[in-house]
Amino acid sequence: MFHCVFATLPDFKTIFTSRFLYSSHHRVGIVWQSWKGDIMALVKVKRALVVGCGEFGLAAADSLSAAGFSVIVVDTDPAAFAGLSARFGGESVVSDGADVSVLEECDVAKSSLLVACTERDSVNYFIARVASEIYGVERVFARIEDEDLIGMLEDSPIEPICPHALCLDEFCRLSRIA
Amino acid sequence: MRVVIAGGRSRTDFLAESLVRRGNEVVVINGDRTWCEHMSSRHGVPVVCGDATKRYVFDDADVEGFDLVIALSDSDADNLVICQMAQRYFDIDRQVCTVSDPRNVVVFKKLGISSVISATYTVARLIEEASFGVMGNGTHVPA
Repeated sequence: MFHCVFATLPDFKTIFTSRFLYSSHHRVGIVWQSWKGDIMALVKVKRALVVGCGEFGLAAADSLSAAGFSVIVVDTDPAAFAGLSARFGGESVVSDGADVSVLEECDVAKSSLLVACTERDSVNYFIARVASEIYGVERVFARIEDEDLIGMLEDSPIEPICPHALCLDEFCRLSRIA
Repeated sequence: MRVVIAGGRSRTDFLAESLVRRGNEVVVINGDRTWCEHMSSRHGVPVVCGDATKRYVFDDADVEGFDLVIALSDSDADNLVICQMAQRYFDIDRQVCTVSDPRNVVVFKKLGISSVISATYTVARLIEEASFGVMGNGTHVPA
């Protein structure tokens, strides 16, 4: 779904409306006519790449799509995409996301966000390092269980997500043992 | 030199033998128990059975401050983790690893691994040289 907001200049109202469209989960494009009469356009669609399409990958892809990102999900198993919601507006690619050429085909360098959430810690670590340090992806999230591996990301902008640590927090909160 | 070799099978077997013969201290880490027993009885080197991407397995191998880590597992991602973990937690400054995907040679170097070898890339160059007598950077395409 794509909406255009027309105005003579991107005034307050345009910006307000575009914000509104953005928050209501649509991609945003602002088109206006400059004082010379040229048609100016501002289309800001952020790209996101989700590698690994398990329960978490599916949910992350859906949320990113709903938040207005242009999303590509990658998984080696075509059956994995069946769990995407009907509202998901992105692309799905059947391929190995741990392959650098596959990441390039998915325009990793143009992505502003990447989630590495395959089943293997080392693969997620590798993909995250490559995306962040070689392709300069701004926000990189890696799902990693091994805490020593998370420790190796301390000096890096990569943001690790540790499922068992989150489960433990929740367990402690619910059980009130800590 | 003190060397730790992680992963790999026949290559590790051959390499360990050659390194020991030259008087190096060698420790082997491998996930396959049967193969570990074979290595241990054959070369008499310390062998640790376990997943080389885990820090506690490296701890068991007692390789702190070794001179060199050689990562020969089949997974490129595992090899990156082995090399960077050895560097970060065990002060092993020189890392050599193999990669399956020739494109990862450049990628791994950018990520700070000292030496990266791609069998596919190397063999392709050798075949090229043998076939056309071309010596060079491997990018030459004969007419």
